[in-house]
Formats: sequence, C-alpha cells, structure tokens
Amino acid sequence: MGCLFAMANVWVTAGRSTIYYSLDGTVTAMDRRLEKHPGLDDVYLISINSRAWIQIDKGLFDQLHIGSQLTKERWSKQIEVEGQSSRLEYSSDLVGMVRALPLICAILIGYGFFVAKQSAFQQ
Amino acid sequence: MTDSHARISRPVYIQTIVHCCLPAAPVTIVYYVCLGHRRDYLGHFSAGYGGTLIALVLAIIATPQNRFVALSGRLVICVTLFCIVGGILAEATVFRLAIFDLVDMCNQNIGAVLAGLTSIPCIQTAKQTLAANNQPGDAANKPSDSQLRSMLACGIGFLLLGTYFAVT
Repeated sequence: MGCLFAMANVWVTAGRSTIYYSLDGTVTAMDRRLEKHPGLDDVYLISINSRAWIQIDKGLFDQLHIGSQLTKERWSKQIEVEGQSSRLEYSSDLVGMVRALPLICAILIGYGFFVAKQSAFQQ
Repeated sequence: MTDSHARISRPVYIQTIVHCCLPAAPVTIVYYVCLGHRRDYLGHFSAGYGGTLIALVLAIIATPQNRFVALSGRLVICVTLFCIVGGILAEATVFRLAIFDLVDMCNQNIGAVLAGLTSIPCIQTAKQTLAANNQPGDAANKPSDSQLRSMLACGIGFLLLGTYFAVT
C-alpha cells in the first residue's frame, strides 16, 4: 500500500510535466495559487478550451498566456506554443520522486518482510 | 512497579525508541537527499508517521486489557486506515491552501503505513517482555507504560519535525 502511494507520487508529479498528456487547444484560463512557501511550492493551473484545470510545471506556465494555442502529442517532450516548438523538461520534483521511489519501496518492502518474519518466528 | 519491571524498564524503553525510529530514519534520509528542495514533502511524511504513531498509542491505551491479544492485529490495521482517511480529509479541508494536493496526501500516507508496520514489533516486544516476566497479572500482553510513553514521545517528535519541515 505504501509502495502504491509512492508510485502515485511519481505519476502525479509526472502529470505536471504534461509529458504523458495530449494537448490541443487554446489556453482559456490561467491561475497561480500560493501554498505554504510562496515561490517554492506554488501551484500553476491552466484550462484548455474551458475544460477542467490542469496543474503544470512552472517552466511551461511561464511560456503561456491566455489565448495561447497549444499542440502536443501524448508522451512527446515536444510542445508547440503559438506555432513555436519547444522541449519540455522533467521538473526537479519528478527527478527527485523517480530517485526516491525505488528506495522508499525497498525500505517499506524490506521492513514489511522483517516484521512478517519476526511475527512468524514468534508464533 | 516490581523489581523485574524496573530491571527491564530501560532496555525496553530504548528498544521501543529504536523500533520506532529504525524504519523512519532511512525514509527521512531518502526524502532529504532526493527531494531536499521540497522539504514540505519530508514534512508531510514525518507528520503522517508521527500522527499515526500517536493514534496507535491512544488506541492501545483505549483497548481493554483482556481483549488486547485478540484485537491487536485488527487494531493496527483499523487505526492505520483511520489515519489514512483522516489525513485525506485534513488535506482536503483545513490544509487545502491552493488545491487538494495528491502528492502531499501520498507522502502523509506513506508515513501512516510505515507507522502501522512499526507498531507491530513494539507490540511484539511487549508480548516477549511480559512473557519473560511471567506475571499472571500481565497476561493481557498489553505494552507497558514505558513502551507506550516511548512510542508517544517518538510520535510527538516526528509530528513536530513534520510540522517544522512542512511549515518553515
């Protein structure tokens, strides 16, 4: 269960890079919302064609304005903004999560086995 | 307190603290090394871990002695699940500043799951200790006050550490 949460972390953070999204349309709304540490953990949201908010990384948010035309294929790192192609990068959050995932899973699974073995030994 | 209790009191106290810190310390280091630029992630993990440990101690205290052996396994699962749901609700309401942050929720719940696992050796240490003492009055196998105090101290410590990292 803990490993599922760790994997969900990677998936959600990867979603903010938009790399696994297919995007096509016009940015109709943008919002930057502050969290506990302004400038560090701000939340960047866009709406494409007035659909639900999508949380994206700061790098992409800075390239956009309301009315920007976006085109991007699913799983592609290339995005076209106003006809100009640019390359999406993985955020430091995602890189960190990808590094942390196997280590956290190894600790959880290893400790789970240790506890199970100890329980079996005592029964 | 009997002589035998006094003799075992210190090792059990230390053993419980080691059991509580042992699994959380490497995860804390992983968060710090891999995600040091986002200390709030470490804060959420630590707060989830500490909060769940505290809830487990309170649940152990509230469980009747004569039913503890039968209930201890289910107690750990139920309290851990309760803390997971409580964490999700807290993140969706009082801690919802910008949006409902799934990453914060997941980090909190990794801590909650690990705390649930951690409590199992602590409960088993209690069983071993009381079996070693072989005291009829302690046949209920409930962790001693010393162990519960150690678990509570660790829980409060991790919760404060989590608050520090999440807020500052």
